Amino acid sequence: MRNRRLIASCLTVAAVTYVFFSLRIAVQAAGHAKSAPDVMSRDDAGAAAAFEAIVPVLHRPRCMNCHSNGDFPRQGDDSHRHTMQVHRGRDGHGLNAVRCSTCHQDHNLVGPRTPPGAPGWHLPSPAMPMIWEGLTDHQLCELFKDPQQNGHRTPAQIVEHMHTPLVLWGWSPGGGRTPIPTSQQEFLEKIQEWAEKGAACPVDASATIIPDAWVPIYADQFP
Amino acid sequence: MQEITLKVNGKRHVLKIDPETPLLFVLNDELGLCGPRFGCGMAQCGACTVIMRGQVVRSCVMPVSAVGQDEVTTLEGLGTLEQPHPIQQAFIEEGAAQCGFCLSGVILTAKATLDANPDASDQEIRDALGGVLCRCFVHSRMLRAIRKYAETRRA
Repeated sequence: MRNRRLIASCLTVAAVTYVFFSLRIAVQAAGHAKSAPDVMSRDDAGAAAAFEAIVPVLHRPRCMNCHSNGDFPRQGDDSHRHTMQVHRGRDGHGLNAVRCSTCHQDHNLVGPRTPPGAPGWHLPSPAMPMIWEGLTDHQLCELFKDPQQNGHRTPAQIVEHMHTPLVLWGWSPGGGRTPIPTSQQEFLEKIQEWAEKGAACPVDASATIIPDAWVPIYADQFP
Repeated sequence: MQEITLKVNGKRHVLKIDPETPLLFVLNDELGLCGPRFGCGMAQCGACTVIMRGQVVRSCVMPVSAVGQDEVTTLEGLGTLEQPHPIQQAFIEEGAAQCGFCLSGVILTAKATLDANPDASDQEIRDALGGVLCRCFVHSRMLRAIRKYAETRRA
């Protein structure tokens, strides 16, 4: 009799434990599904084409001014070096006591030649500078995918990053700066499509598309 | 209008003010502090510089509501006429002023830079001062004064 009770108790405990862990795994899986790369159906050609579609956006001054060569930001539609001897610094927020937030607020200031702003205004850190000036489309795509270079992000997290106010600022830069001409919706749809189709990269040998107007500036100032 | 509490140079002030008012106007007009000055009004010249959270801030473009609980230090917060701060003393000894309009920005920027990095190189100090314009060219004397202060700190 005692043995039967003991067996029944053990079975009950085992059943409860099983249900508990099953539920836990199910909950974890549900959470993971939200944050993991949402690959709907792998389509390498489609993903590569979607990435190609966003490359012109990435090469606009609104993006390139913080993703170009050198440990300093650039500014303006001509991507000249940021005035005031501004540096990237140890964390991407400036050097010593002169930080990005010394002048930049979390919003654009009104009027021409006033500092633009968005929440978290900064450059990528020197540990992962995310410099894509001079990269081919393929190299740029690989950089986007490489957690060692992209801030430890999965493709799905790259998509999330593209929805942050700092990135979306490119469409409303204020102060007479040229906004990104591609529609924000189209850009976000394409980056989402790239991730959903498996984040494959274009296999190409094309050089980075830098508008001709920028070339003399880089060549003159930083030979 | 909104009630805002500001901590400036160790004193707490309670003000009823438009939260979008630039911090500079509050310091000048409400608190009577004339160390930070209105130069360009768009964060380009550095005359309005104050120290917050250990970094320099252009008070002409910062809404007073953005200050929050952080303490603001202006030039008046460093030393007194009778007992100047060592960096102010160094500037006096080197005669590092002409018109003096930029002086508050220069002194606070140099101090904050050396507070953040006591071993900042001459180039780093020059770069930090890249955002503070001096229109009567006292740069070399200023740099001498800053170097003297940096050496005093290390001694």
